[in-house]
Amino acid sequence: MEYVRYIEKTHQYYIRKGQSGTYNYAHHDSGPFQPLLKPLAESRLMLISSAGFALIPDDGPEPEPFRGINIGEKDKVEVYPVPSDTPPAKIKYVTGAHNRADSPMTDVEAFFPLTRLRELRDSGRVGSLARDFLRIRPCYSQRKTRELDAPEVLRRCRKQGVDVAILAPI
Amino acid sequence: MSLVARHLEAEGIPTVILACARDITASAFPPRAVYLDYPLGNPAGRPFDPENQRAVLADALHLLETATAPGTIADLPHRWNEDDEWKERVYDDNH
Repeated sequence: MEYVRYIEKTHQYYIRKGQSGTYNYAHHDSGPFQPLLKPLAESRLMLISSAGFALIPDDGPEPEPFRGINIGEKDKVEVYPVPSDTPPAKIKYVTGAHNRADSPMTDVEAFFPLTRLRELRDSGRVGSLARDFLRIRPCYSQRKTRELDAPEVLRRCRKQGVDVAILAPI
Repeated sequence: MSLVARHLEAEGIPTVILACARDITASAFPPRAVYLDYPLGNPAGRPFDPENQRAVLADALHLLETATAPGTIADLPHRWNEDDEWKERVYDDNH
């Protein structure tokens, strides 16, 4: 099984588009590790997504879809709460995908598994879910992610007594 | 997202990433990840396949419980389709 070499393909893509600079993906050779502090059945779980979706308002028009990847602004924190009891039908994917032909983004559970996580809570596999899950806007700036968005995610996790987090990049 | 995971982990919150891009994820050395060999956009399992989605999350939770060192990536066995032809369309300018 040969996995897709996205870093190499991204580099080639930009060259084809006439851009000389390569995109610098984050690279580390070591990192932090925190073992579980308590059983999952007693833990509060957070879900964090970078998918470009919007919540359909109870009143007012549905959000319009648009092509292209929705990339964050340079110096703005872009972390948005999504109540974990949101009905999946209220979530609409609105931004571009890398591969539309194979990722129609029409089943929320495939990228933001609200129902699946509620099942795990209801069965007792995990203790509870954070009241508000989080969505962060994709960003090309590692500095912004490190200095603005990640600390805001941490703050919101701490405020809600989160014990463990699942991250679902798009 | 790996950078967010690293930040949470450094501050005492265990994390697991649902990853469809193995090389990008591995490069950032996140604490834990399950790798799903599916097109980008489906990190939590195959659309409209609840059993597959449950399996992915079960493996993610299992990794939270069993990993003993940072940078652990568990390769999940699921295939998007038999011939992997979707991989030919990645970064195809027509899609």
